[in-house]
Amino acid sequence: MTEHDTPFIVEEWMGASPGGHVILKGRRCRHCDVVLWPPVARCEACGSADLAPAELGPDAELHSITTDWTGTFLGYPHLVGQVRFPEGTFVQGFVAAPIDGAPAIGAAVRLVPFPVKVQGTELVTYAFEPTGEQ
Amino acid sequence: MRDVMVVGVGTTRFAQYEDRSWIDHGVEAVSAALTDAGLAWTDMERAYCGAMGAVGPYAGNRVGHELGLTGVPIQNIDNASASGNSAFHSACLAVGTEQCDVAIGFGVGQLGRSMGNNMGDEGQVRRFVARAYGNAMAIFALAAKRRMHEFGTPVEAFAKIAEKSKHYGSLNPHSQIRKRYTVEEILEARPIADPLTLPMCCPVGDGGAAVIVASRHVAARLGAAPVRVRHTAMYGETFQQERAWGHALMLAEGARDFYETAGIGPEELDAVQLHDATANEELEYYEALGLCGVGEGDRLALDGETGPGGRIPVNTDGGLISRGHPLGPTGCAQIAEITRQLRGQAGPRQVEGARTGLIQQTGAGEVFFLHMLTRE
Repeated sequence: MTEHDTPFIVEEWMGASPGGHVILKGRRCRHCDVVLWPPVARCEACGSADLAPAELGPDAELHSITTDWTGTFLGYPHLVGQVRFPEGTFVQGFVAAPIDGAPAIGAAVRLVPFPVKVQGTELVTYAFEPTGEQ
Repeated sequence: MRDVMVVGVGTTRFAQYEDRSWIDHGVEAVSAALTDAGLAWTDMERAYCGAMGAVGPYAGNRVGHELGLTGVPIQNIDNASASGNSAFHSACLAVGTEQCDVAIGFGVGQLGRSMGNNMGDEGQVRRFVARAYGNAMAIFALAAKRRMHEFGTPVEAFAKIAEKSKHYGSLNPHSQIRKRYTVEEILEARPIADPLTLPMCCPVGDGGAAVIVASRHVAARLGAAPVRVRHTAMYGETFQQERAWGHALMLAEGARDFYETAGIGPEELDAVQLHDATANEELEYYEALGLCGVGEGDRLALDGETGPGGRIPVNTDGGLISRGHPLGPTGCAQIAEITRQLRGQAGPRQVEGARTGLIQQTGAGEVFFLHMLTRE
C-alpha cells in the first residue's frame, strides 16, 4: 500500500519510502553480487538461488528517454524512460514530467508514486521524476 | 552433419487482409514452395511450422488439414519473431542428421488483430503497465535515443535506412508497403516513439512463407539450383543489465562464433537479411554482425552502403519495415529472399553475382538465429 492507501500495481515489486518516494523490491545475488529487479527465483546472471532481498531507489540516473506518442496504457502521449540505479540495475518506466519539459539523458531522477488504471481499478506504480540536478 | 540444400521457396504478400486467414496464407506459401521445388505435399517427410501463440494452437496442423491428411508429421514451434527461422533450422537438422531426405519449414502469422490486447490475465497486464511496457516501439526508441546520446548518431541515419527499405520494398511484389518515401517524408511522418516515425517501424499484417530443404542427392535429382545451407545456428539470451542494448550485445558474441564455425567471415557476404523491427535496430545489427566496426554503422547507412549498388546490401526485399512482419513467416521469407538472390531470381532488386548470404533473426530478444546460404 502507498501512504494514501491506494494499492501498488504489483505489491511484491515496490514499496513506500520516506519523503513520499517509492523503492523497488529486488534481489541481490550472494554469488555474483548482481542486483535484479523485478524479483526472481534465480539469478539471471549466474543461475544461483542464493538471493537476498535488496532495495533499489529512490535515486537513479536517466539513461534514456522517449515520448510514446501512441499513448498506450495512459491514453495520451507520455514520456517513458530507462534509468540506471547506483547498483548497476536498469529499469524502464513512466517519467513524471510534461513532454515539453522532458529531462535530458544523464539527469538525476527519483522514484515517485504514479497513478494508473488497470481494467477500471485505480492503482499506483512508480515513475521517474527529475530532481532538477544533472 | 551431411550437406543440406534449399530446393524450394514460397511466400505470400504480407498485408492486412479482411477476406483471408493465416491458414490461407500457409496453404498458398507451402503450395508455392512445392511448385518451386517440383515436389508434392506427400513428398514431405517432416514439416515444421513457426507461428506465434496468438494465431491459436497447433497452427501447422490446421494448415496441414488443408493440404491433405497424408501422414506428414508436423511439429509446431513458437519463438516469437524467430518462429519461422526455428522451423527452417529444425528442417535442416532433420535432413542433416539423416532423419529424412526432404523436410519443409514454414510459418504463418497475423500480427496485430489476432493479438489484440492479449497480454494475458490481469496479473500479467499489471506487470506490463507497471513498467510502461505498452508500446514495443518505445523500447527500440529508448535504444535509439541512447545511441544518439553516446555516438552522436543523427536521426537522418535512421531515416536513410527506412528510405532504403522503402526503395527495396517498392521493387518487391510481395512487400506489404510498396510506396517509396524520401528521407524528408520519413522524418516528417507521424511520430510513434521519439525519434521513430511510422515509416521507421514495421507494420502489422498477415502472411505465410515456406522453405523446403533436401539432401544433396535429392536436390540433384530435382535439378535444383545448388543453394547450400552452409551453416545454421541458434543462440540463447545471455544476461545483460542494459536491456535496451542486450539484443545487439548478445548477437555480437554469437556472430563471432557463427562466422568461425561457418569458415566464412562478414567481409565475404554479398547480401544480408536481418531483424529490423525498427530502423535503428537494423543499424545496431550492422555493427553486431561485423558489417562495420562499432560506431561506424551511421556512416554505413548514410553512405548508402547497405542499399542498391552498395558494399553490402541489407534487407533487399524491404525487410520487416516494408516487406512486413507477421512474426511466424518472417524468418522463412528472409530465407526465401536470400535464396532468390543466390539463384539470380530477385529481379530489379538483384545483387549482381551474389553467392553468399546471411540471415539473422531475433525472437523477443530471448533467442536468435543465424543461417548462412551459399551458391555452389
